[in-house]
Amino acid sequence: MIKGEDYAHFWIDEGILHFVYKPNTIIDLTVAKAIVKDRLRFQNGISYPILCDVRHLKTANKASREFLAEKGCYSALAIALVIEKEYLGTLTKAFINISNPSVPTREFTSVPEALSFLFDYK
Amino acid sequence: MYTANSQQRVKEILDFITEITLGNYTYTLPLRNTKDELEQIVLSLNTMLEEIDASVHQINNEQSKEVVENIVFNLDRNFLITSYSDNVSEILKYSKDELLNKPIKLFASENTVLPDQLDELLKSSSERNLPFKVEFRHLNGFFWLGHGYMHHIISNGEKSYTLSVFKAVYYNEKLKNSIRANKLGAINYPSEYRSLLLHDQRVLIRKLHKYIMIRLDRKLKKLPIISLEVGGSVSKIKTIFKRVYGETIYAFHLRKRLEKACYLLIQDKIPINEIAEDCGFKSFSHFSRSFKKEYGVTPSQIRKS
Repeated sequence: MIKGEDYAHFWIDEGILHFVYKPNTIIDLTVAKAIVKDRLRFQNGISYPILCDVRHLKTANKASREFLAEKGCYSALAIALVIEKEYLGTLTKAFINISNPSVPTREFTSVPEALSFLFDYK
Repeated sequence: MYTANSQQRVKEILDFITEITLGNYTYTLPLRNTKDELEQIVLSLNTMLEEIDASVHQINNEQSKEVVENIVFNLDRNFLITSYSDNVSEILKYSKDELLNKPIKLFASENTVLPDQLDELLKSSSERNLPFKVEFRHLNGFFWLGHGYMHHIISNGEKSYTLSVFKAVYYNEKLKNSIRANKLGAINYPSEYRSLLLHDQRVLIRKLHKYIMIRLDRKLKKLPIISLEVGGSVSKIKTIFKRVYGETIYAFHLRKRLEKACYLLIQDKIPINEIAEDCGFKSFSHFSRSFKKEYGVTPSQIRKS
């Protein structure tokens, strides 16, 4: 069985859920479902702002983007995507502008910037 | 910068762009394990292609319909191709000589796990009927990803197998015709008005969708207020929404709230009354009734199962 933990590390620090994808992760619908399931169980009914580090993510297909924009936002107060300056621009822009995540979502190129955005949602 | 490897990669990218230009949106260009500008371009192209496919075929479901592409290979006991369906050469672009009597593995990606041994294949009768992911290589190196079934063919002669692979694609008669017309040399641009309308529609639909999705925790306001907030008249937002999603704004909103509730009931441990509140239901009985109407069971029954 596919486990979300195989694709990402997550932990809570100062009221913010940190979510870091493991290197070379490819997300399809099955993986996306497993990740969201594990995250919800981990949160145990409490909603958090989420810092989602996608710098090591390889790619995520359309079906998974649509799933993450809907079910992936449950029990999330806001999402900050951390990307590398030169990479993943198209992918995250397609996610934010086309898949329409159901909570406030923005992309950042540094963790401190992302954290300062999330602090407003704590 | 231009090593032989990167030159080859540039050629693959250009071929891929040509395929997109010709209206083929069903392939992806496989990513390599390097992180350079070319791979970033490939990643962006793949993402763009998925979005084009969605825009062209799904924005207006009156014009596109979902169809299933199915390719079939007959294999001998050593998994060599003995025959194949006629659409294989159309989809993967290989010639007869390149396919016949060649191992099927040659045409699949490393990610495709084809059962090597008969024993493995028939290990369990339940497993036997499960589909598995099959990625075929197109002649130009693109991937065509589908779901396959491997069947053991029963006959009096030698043992053989059939590999049947399915992929859901969108078929658009109008698009096919315009591509065919271009091939014949006729210039057949879509009218300016039409493309503007499509763009306009797409922006409005995205706004509406976002408007609804960030309000799954409350009741939606009246249509005139929604239309003021997203722009566009009441009749326009009603018509466009119904055309794209096949249901009214309020029915879609209710379905999405119930879907959210169902998902949280199964995956999360939050108390049911909190879920009801989180999904915009003021009274528990209203939530329970709506839930039962949609799924045939009550929220408590879902939780218990």
